[in-house]
Amino acid sequence: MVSRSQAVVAAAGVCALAGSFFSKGDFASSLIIWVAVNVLMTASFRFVLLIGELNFAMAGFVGIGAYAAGMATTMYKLPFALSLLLGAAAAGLISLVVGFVTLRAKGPYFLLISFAFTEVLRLIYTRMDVIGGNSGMIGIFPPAYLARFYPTLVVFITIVFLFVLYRLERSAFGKILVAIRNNDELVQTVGIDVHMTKVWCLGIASFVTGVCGALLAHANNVISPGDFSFLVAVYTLAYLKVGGESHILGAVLGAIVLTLLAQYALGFGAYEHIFYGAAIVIGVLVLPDGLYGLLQRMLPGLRRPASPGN
Amino acid sequence: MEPEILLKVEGVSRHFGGLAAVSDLNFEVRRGEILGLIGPNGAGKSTTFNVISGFYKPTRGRLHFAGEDITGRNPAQISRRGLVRTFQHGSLLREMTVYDNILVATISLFRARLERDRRVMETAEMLRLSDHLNEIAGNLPHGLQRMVSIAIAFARRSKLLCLDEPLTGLNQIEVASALAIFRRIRDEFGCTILLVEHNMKAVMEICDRIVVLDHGEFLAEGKPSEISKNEAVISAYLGKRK
Repeated sequence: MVSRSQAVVAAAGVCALAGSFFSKGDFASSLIIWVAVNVLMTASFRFVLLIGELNFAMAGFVGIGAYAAGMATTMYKLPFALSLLLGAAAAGLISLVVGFVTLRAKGPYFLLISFAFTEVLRLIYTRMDVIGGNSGMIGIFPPAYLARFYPTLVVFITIVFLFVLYRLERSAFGKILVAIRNNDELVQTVGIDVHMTKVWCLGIASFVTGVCGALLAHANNVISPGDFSFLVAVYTLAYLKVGGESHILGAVLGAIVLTLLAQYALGFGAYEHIFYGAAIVIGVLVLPDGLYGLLQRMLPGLRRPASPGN
Repeated sequence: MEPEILLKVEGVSRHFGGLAAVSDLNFEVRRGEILGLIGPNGAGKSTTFNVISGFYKPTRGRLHFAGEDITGRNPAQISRRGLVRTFQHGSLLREMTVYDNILVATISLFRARLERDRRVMETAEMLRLSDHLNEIAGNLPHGLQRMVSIAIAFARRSKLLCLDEPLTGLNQIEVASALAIFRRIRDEFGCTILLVEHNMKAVMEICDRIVVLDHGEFLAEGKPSEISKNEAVISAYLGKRK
């Protein structure tokens, strides 16, 4: 059974693919890629929020994905698909180790640790001459035959991973994640290893984040440590707050709307960051459940009747 | 033949810094009984629960459950061996539906969705929650929230159910109905129940045996009729007779 809202989402996905395919000009293509990558980053940020943790380490894992994929492409001349996979795998695997150590902390403590992780990682990049140090890594191009279709490919990969994250959230595993956010002690009493579940949650999210980093690196062709500061996570938080946390489509909406609006904020120069701060504040004050909540109120058809076993 | 003694608490102590919350505690839970664990505030009942369920490691002593040493196991491992507890203050998933609350308890038991669904339905039926499956647990009235907590624990059909003050805040009718449910859980499903409760009337009514703690130490043990006449217990609760 396909509901009307599912049909609408599928149609929007097809439009995005078609639009990206027929887009002309460098700026339009770049913009489509930024939007798509931001959408996927926001969705993966939200995935860790299912267990109730604000994962500022996400910015760090974008960096790991980008640098790993960049090294694979520029230094080892590996095929593009393999670079992508390596970027994702590097972020995913490292996050499993990081999560195993840090996810015993929660709430503000985990937030601070994940923040520190991102910043330390950024400083490490600046000291590593192999990957270009402060000036970064250059010449990360997708293969020539793909250049024309690259925006379409990015949109396609984004849609695939959005679907995967959505299915995971609806599965028993996803229910456990939300249950952990509600009451982690209780979840332990029903025979579930809460710690390892949280580690896997971060691992899955970071794998997706690694894909984002790899895609971004090949889109921008140049990466430098400054691209992966904690601000990336702050922006993502703004996308999510504006879009709405209760549904994955909130992450999609917020990232699309804010990324497009932010193109105007570029003109603010140093005041650009105020734009994101204001977006978070306005989002929280005016839209308690973000754009998705607003949409839900305007289109009652979107509201899913809760039914057992669904 | 399964052993008669389901849970054996052997010389268990739990210290917090210099404070001995529980010291040298010995008691047994026998298969198929409803055992009450009572004592004045600060007697160490909750600490005992936390040690039994693996949330605290005992400073000294050993725990044997169903013929196996479970000392030092974590809560999830203990739960999978068939010992499930509830919490004094609302052990439920507030943002989730009643259905999902019970479902989460069945996930580590069954792989198939159909089996999980059937178990949720049976459990809801037993706890009289069938009409509330789609409601968000946090929005339910207090009495029903208590039932959801018990449903989560009971959904696992564990050998031993440890209920931490399940009757707090319930009215008389709700207490009577809860006690009837506890009896059915024991009689029809063979679950053993360990009950911490302040409602003395209910404890005296439903328990087969009672263990009394005071100041973290074992004070008395016996049938409800013996306990209610026990001098030491009366003075622990009411102070010494002048």
